[in-house]
Amino acid sequence: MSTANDKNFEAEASVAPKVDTLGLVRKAKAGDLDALQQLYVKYVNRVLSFVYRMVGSKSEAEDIVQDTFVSAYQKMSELKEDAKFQSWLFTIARNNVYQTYRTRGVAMVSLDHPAKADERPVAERVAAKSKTPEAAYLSDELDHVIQSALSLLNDKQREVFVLSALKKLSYEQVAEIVGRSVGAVKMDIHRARLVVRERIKNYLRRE
Amino acid sequence: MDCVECQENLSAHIENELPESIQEQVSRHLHACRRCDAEYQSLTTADQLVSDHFMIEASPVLWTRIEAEIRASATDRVAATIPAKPTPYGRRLSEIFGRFSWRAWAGAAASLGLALGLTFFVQQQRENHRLDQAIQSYIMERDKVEQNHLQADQGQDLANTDEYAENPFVIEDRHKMENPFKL
Ligand SMILES: [Zn+2]
Repeated sequence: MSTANDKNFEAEASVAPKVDTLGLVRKAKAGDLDALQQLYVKYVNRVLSFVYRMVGSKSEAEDIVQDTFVSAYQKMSELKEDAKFQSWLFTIARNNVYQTYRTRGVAMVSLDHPAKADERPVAERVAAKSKTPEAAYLSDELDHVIQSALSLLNDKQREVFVLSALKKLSYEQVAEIVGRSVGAVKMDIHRARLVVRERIKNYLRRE
Repeated sequence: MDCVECQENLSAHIENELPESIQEQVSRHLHACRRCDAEYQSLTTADQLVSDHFMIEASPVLWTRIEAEIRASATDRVAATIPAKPTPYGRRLSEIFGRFSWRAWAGAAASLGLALGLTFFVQQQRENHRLDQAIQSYIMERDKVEQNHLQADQGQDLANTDEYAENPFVIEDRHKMENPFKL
């Protein structure tokens, strides 16, 4: 089990294969596209998973993540504290999620569009195929269960739950991203956990 | 710590987000209270299931798309800030053409028409001259051919005389002829 310290930006960099994240942020600020690519490799799956859990469609999520990294690169000079790159990146992703769904007027998490096997990238499908068919089926089922549980939450609960479920984000970082107090975030995360737990309990009982 | 307070802190406890002193109080309560411990176990199980299936992976092409968009927008921005630069040749042409009034343009058009007409006339004259020459040389050629035929015909007459014109009336040995009346 990770400790609270593991969730700090610097500690995180030391756990992963030795990457000088701060150095990469500085280089990307100076316009170095290779540095941005290394930051992308480090953060893309976390940002993508956050967006995907918010919108419920993988292809939509990838479009939003694309916009997120492009505007991060273009607005890099607006990042004041280099050490807060990750939170800043999530803030941009979050804004893009709300902006996309505000302009489109579509409900964010939709049960009508659960993750389909075909929708996933080749790498993911190959990985799924290497498991037993039952495991792959269970994986798809659980994906749908998680998504349906998230649809029971209001926007505030959903976003803080999803962000905290990405593990490497502390309550403090979540609070920073959503612009709320740590106490309020903590309370919403707990409420969300109870709802998600009930949904998963029901699913496991049916099995 | 009572059950309500313990359960309110369970998620934060699972996430290691509590100050050390409160973390310890929760742990102690869980050891002592079966109901809260059951709640803790059930939340942990759900948390584990969610964690195991929560993350998805980006398509391999996503970075390519991002890089392409960044490069394209950088090009667009350069194109937007700097006006399209004409080639030196094109710019000189547009400067030259822009300098003249409509009168100059009309004059130029008239001159162009006249020049074209003259060119056509000269061309036509040249064409006529060429035709005359052709006819003349044709006549000369024709006459030459006729002359040759005439000479050839005459030559052939002479040759014919040599080959065939034996005098059928020549009596080879007229002196050998005897007088048929001679007794
Ligand atoms: Zn209790």
